[in-house]
Amino acid sequence: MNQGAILLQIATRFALLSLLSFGGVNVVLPDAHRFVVDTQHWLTDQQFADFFAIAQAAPGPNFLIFALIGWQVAGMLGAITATLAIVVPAGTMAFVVGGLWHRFRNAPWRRATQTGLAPVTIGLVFSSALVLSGAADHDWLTFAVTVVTAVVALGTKLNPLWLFAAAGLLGIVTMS
Amino acid sequence: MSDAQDIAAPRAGVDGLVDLYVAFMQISLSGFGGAINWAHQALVTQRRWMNDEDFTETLSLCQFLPGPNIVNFAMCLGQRQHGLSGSLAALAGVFSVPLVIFILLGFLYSEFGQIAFIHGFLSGISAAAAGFIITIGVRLAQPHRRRPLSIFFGLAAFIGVGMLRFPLLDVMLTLAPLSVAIAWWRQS
Repeated sequence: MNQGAILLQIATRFALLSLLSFGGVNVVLPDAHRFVVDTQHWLTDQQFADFFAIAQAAPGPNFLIFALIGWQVAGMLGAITATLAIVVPAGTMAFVVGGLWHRFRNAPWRRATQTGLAPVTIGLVFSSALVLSGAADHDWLTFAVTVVTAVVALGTKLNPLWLFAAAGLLGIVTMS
Repeated sequence: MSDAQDIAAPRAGVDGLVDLYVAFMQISLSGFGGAINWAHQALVTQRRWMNDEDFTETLSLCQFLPGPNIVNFAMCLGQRQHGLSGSLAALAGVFSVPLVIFILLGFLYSEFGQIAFIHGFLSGISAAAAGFIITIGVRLAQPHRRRPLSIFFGLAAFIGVGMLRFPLLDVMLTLAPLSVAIAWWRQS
């Protein structure tokens, strides 16, 4: 496939995900994984998991995992295209709706939409957890890291960066 | 309406655009564990561009709409202060510098990602990050745990997208209208 066709695919696919990301980009990660790993074979499972790790730990918003995917697939232009595709459709909507907000903030359909979407969003966040754990956990040790992180993060107010640092060090010690 | 005294007026013209750009760059670079805590710090406490009530209301709009919350927040506040150019300045603040950092990281990853200790480091972090998403899910699910309908729709989405790997669009188009219609019917 030539570069232009790939960029177009990135743009259209990620733009669709942008408009579906009710609750943030965590809910569209399973579909992104499905597209870039399972369908297109642009990334391996491990690369997807690594990009997710980088996006979580690096300074900057998490949605830039899409920039990393774009970079891997089509270099600099890929990174920029992917970022704009995630940002522009949702951003345009926020711009338009933001201006009208006061008119309908108490409208009953708005409350119904919010109430109705919430459980679907939660199911999608757990889908993300499942897909990411599938990509990241290849033995009992990594699986244990996932479980322990979830339990500790739930039970404490510890900054997750400490957990990531500990898990990263454990990874260095055990895997290299 | 917001109390005029505790809101600082945005600066006019290009100065105002620069302010927006810098504010949102600061928020997006410091944002781990949800940029939103930092947004409150930067926009309400530090710059007094909004009061608490304003902030909460804008945030609820941004969470309601699709897309990264921080992007939506930048578009809304930017627009309120300086129209379209304000939105664009704030949006540029959100992703310009982080994008450069991420492209650099992507480059480093493709050059050095296969080195054993970096590979091990990332494997550890990705396992932990997957665990952190479970935490986010559990926190979001807490208020819903006694609502059978929420559990039904949550499970349906999880089974459809997570386990069966159906396309997100199909699952959303099936579940969202149904779930919203039921919510509508129950509240009226």
